[in-house]
Amino acid sequence: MDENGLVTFKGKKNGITIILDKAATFEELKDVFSKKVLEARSFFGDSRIAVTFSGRVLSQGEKKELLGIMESSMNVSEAAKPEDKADLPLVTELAYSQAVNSTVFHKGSLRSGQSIKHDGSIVVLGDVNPGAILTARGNIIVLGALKGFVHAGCMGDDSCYISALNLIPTQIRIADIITYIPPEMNVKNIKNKQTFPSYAYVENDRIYIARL
Amino acid sequence: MGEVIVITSGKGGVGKTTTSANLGCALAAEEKKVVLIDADIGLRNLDVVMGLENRIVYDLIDVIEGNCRLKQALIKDKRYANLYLLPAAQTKDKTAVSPEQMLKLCESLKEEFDYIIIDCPAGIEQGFKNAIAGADRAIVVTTPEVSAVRDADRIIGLLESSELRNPLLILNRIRPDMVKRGDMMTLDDVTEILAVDILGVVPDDESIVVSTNRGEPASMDKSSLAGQAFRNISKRILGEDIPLMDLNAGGGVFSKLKKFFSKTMA
Repeated sequence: MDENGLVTFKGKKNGITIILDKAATFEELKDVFSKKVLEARSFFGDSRIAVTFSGRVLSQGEKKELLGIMESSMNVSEAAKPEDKADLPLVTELAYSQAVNSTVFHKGSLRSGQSIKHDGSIVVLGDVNPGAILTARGNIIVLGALKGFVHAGCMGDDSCYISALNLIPTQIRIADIITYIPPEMNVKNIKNKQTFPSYAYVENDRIYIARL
Repeated sequence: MGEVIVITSGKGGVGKTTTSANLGCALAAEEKKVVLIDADIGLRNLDVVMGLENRIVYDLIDVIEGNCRLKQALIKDKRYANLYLLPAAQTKDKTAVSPEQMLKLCESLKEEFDYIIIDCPAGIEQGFKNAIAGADRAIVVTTPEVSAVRDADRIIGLLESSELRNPLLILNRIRPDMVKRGDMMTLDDVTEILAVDILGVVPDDESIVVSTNRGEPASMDKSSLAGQAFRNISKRILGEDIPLMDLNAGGGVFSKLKKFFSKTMA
């Protein structure tokens, strides 16, 4: 393999993008990288350079190493905004699935004025009284009567759902959609109406409620 | 060693002062040593409802500031053997007292009295915090209305986080005719949301208006239905098992109790 193809420096308006080969091992890359850095030193001089890595997903440790190699020869810092947008979705997806997997459990009921805000999913083992507020980046499940304010997918994820044994929230929000149950359909207003475990989800920009 | 009970609600106008006055009188009628404390500084009412306002010389703030001795501020109710009132100040406001000062006051009163009843002001701010500072237990008063129940729920949440767990509930101003028509919440509707134990149910009664204006609490009036309810509540506080009055209010509790007790309490 052509050594020179493993690491390529590309000058951009706001700094340089370093394109790294995907297939090569990190050790191989480091070697070629150091050589290239030495070559480029005289070209870049002392000016402050913003660096973006692309072509290969690097771990924090690996990035640090490469930046370290550069820093010993030039005045570099990692660019604040990654110019290669292809990298972005991968990173946020990872963070998001980690967040949804982080669930907070609350044992007991929530009274009016009490609230739970979580960067993940929420499970309440009890009732959520009117005036109580649940806000989650992920899903919300209430093993009881949900009568308060509830907002799932609060960072914009409309694939999140809200479920309860008795789903009669004062106001319901999933991602950016806000709504409430119309009075004639609200079980609360119909005496002796049976309640079923239900869940609310988004379809075609509207919130639907279905029986579990 | 006495017990400090705070009567609170969150919502204003649901009957805290009325309850405080009536419970005080009813407990005193049961031969207990009772002191009522009006914690609603700036908007005092307990003295008016008790008919003792023209005997106020010193008040709660005077005691806190050391302008007088505690004994000098206590007003002895001449209608009972051992009923006293510590009135609030009318010219100050709730920032004039701190929770620590209230706690100290309650501790010193506990040594002399069987029951110290604190009439808590409406709200959840400084006045409320002062009133609950020295309390051993709490009684929450609410009316069967959505807004009152919402505030009661908030208050119970705050009480629980202040270590005043298991507050008891008094459902005040219930109107059995409206409940029957389905126009008013039932006892079950209220307890379903609040999830606390019931201490008593008091019917809406014109005699309360009359008794307030006269300064003679209704529990002293044998013919008052509300007065009877308060007398029952005071007996329950003392440990007696009195069934809830048959008000034809509907809801599970009443019909269940009817089966157990063949005669209705007069």
